[in-house]
Amino acid sequence: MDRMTDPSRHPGEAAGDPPGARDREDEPVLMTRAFDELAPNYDHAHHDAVAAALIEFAGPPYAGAAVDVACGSGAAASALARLRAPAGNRSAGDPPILAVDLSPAMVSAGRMRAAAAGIDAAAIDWQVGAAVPLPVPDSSIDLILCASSLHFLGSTALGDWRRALRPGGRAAFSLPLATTFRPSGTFAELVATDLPLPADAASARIPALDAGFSAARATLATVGSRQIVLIVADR
Amino acid sequence: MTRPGGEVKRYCPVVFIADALTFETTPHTLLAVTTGTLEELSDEEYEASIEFGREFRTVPVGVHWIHANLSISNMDFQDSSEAASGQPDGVFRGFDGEVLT
Repeated sequence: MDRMTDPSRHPGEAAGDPPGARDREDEPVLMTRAFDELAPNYDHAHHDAVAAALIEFAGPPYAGAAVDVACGSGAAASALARLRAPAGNRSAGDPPILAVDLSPAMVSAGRMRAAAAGIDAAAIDWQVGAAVPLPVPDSSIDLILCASSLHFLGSTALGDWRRALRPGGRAAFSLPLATTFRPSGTFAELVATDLPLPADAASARIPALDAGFSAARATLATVGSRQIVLIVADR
Repeated sequence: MTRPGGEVKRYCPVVFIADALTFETTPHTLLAVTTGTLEELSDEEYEASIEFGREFRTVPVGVHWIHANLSISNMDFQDSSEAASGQPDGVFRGFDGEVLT
């Protein structure tokens, strides 16, 4: 029985592997496939709400070079673009917000949603590709946003954000609570193994501080029926 | 803190059933049933998960939507069951602004 027919195995597991084993080199392929398949059924309202809460918690300034990391359908990038230029035009003086994601289907959905929302096409630079490392020079970014994605990227992303941020720059990200996060199927396999999920807001600051950020603050936010943690870390 | 990746559970949060009603009525609808139990949820979580019932009916295209968003754990069973309960016929057709047909 191969993995195509063995229901106890998941994509990426070889026939001789113990259940749960997966070649980490397959991960970008699996991640891309999983999120491409999710894109047509994505809960956009949930992600819009997370993005709005995250940006509100981060607070101003919203200007400068900004990135939406593992952007999915770009809820954070679109929310930031609207905040910068409520009329839909691109804000003067700010470079386009970089929105990067592995999934072409997600990026396509984001591009279409932004256009439907009347956001200037020049306000967001959509890129399909790996989010870690970010395709930006060292010390070049003022604001990093990462909504509902860091638990798939892992702790390496935090170190990369510190590299990418200018001194004084900030990373704002959300994490699910360990107590209520129950992914299943392929998504359970794709959750990073090196990033502890927080049990509360206080412990959610620890990974950022361990990665070398000078300060971090966190709070619980309720989105739908769920509580999530919002974290803002200062370079 | 816990490490989510330390153990990978073969967890299936919902099952979809084609029952007699599925074939007897149009539009055809499927029964969505939560698999959540008190063994794996806290009392508070369990009570919340069944606030709108342990089951609801969904249009077929809703299966993909419900399964996908439960799999990534962005939402809980009660988010869908609440949406279904808000429909006059109790059938899940998506959330506000995202009507599935």
